[in-house]
Amino acid sequence: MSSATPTRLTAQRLATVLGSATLLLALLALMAPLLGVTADAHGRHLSLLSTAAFDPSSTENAILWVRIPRVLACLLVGAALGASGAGLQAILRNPLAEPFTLGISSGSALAAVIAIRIGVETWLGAAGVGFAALLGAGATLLVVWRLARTEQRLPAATLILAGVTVSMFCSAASVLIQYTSDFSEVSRMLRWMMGGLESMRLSTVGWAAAPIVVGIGTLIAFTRELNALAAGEEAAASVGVAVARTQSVVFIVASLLVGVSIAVAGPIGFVGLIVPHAIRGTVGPDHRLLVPASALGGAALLLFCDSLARMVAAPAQLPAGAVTAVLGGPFFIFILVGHKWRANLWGRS
Amino acid sequence: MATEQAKAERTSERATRSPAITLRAASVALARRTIIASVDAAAYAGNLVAIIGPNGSGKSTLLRAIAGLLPLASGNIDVLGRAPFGAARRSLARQLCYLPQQTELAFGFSVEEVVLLGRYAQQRGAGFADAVDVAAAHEAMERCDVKHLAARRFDQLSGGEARRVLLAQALCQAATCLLLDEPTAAIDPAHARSVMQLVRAQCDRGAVALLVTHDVDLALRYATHVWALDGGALVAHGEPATVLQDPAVTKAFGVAIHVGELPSGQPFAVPA
Repeated sequence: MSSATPTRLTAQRLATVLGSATLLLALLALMAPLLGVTADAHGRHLSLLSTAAFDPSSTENAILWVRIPRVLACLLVGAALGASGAGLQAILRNPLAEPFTLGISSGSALAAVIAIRIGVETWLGAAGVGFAALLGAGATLLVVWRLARTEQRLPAATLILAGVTVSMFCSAASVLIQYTSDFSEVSRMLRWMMGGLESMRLSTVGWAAAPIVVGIGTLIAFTRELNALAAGEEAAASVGVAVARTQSVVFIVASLLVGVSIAVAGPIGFVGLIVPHAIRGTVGPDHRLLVPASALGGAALLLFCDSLARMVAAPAQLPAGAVTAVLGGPFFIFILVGHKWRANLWGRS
Repeated sequence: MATEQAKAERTSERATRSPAITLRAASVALARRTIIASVDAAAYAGNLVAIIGPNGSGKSTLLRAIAGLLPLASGNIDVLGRAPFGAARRSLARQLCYLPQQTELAFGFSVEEVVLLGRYAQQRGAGFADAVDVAAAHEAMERCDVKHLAARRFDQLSGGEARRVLLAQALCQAATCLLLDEPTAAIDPAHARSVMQLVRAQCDRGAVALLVTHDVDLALRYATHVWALDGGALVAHGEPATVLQDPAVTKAFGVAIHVGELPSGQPFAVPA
């Protein structure tokens, strides 16, 4: 008898798991903006903002308002990456499916690099790079889609192959452009490609919120179909799933979620890959629970990593993308070697 | 000879009804190669049709075309009054179930969860299994003798157990057209017989089943009809004993099928 969730998902279990996860995340999100590191004569130490933070005229209030958009951005971007990773792994039935292997991240990074090279920032500001990244994600999505699609079907293996190929091409093109750029451009390009959430504006969070919430909602609406797709395209079709529509909607929505996240925070790796795996190992494979739980888990992970990025080298700040990668790699290896977990990861082990 | 009588009744009844599944000059091509060449055939409610033929003769392709999973190159297929390819899968799934030859399940779903996936077309909203779904799933599991596996992970089952679980999934779909691609492959003899018996019981209650098999003995014992394919063409069809001994079938397999009678009076078939 295995330790994996042996019984079917009930509404009660769904509500209990998601409810407690939401509560934990809310607690984390309330704590995060209050927590910081202060450096003074005695060295560096953790500090909480005092109640003075709620007085609009205080410095602490100003600090709070720098941190709040950042926390909100972490929640949105992390949730988008976690949910889209779970969705992509489901339609492609591939444990490696994530924004990076599908070329979306590299494509939007290339667009951002081009935007920095041609000086988009000078006439559109920093938002121009984000916009370019979103366009890049959309364009890559179209290219990978057209390459992979055959006779109204979207074979998973072809899609991954097309994604990896496009990803390599875009990375190579990015490197070439960097090579021909001057030093300050290169430093801005590298900075952008590391992914980070510092100097987040409330307005950025504002425009990203709607598409991310709608996108995650759309993925959640397709979770029963994703369950059926686990048995393959023909098996899903024969129990009544509109396979082509499910694959198209989930692929497009997941890609756009990734595109919006990249536009907001740059390419942040590993969240889309490890969160669904870790959550699947914990709550089981049913996508009705897995997709929303991955959104919550992604939000929590990115918030945690970004808080570390903000505090660990204070007053200097690390890029959050680097922290997720540094923590994510070993964590994933830990999951892989722990065979009790490995059995739950993907199926046959 | 009660069964003979029942058979005769079914035959006379058949003439007055329209077929559940009709193929008219149906041809299927995969990657521009013709796999099924102009097949004309019909199956009626109550029929259990065994589709036989050597490897690569197009049995699975024919079944997938009838399941609406492949487009036709020419001709047409009619399943309960509509063309299956391009039909809305959800409403089609209430009439037609299909057991693929191979299934590889990603993720560690439990057996019960896998069987309940068969209820997709009957469920609404978030699709939490209600009492009807659970009852249907548990009845199907019982009939396929996999109820004791309900809490096990599907991906840790043996090949034969997995096959029976998938059959349970197809059965709990509550469809009247059963398209089963080698339902008895990898299944031990006793379970293979009980699988055939339960498919036959479905047919006796008015379902129509088309199943691909390499087991000519099971075909003889349980099928009402046999369709024999060779090189994508339907070379023989009709009563099992007649078709199995048809020269075209001998030619197709490269070995004659011997049909005999056991001391108990039971018929049997083996490659001679």
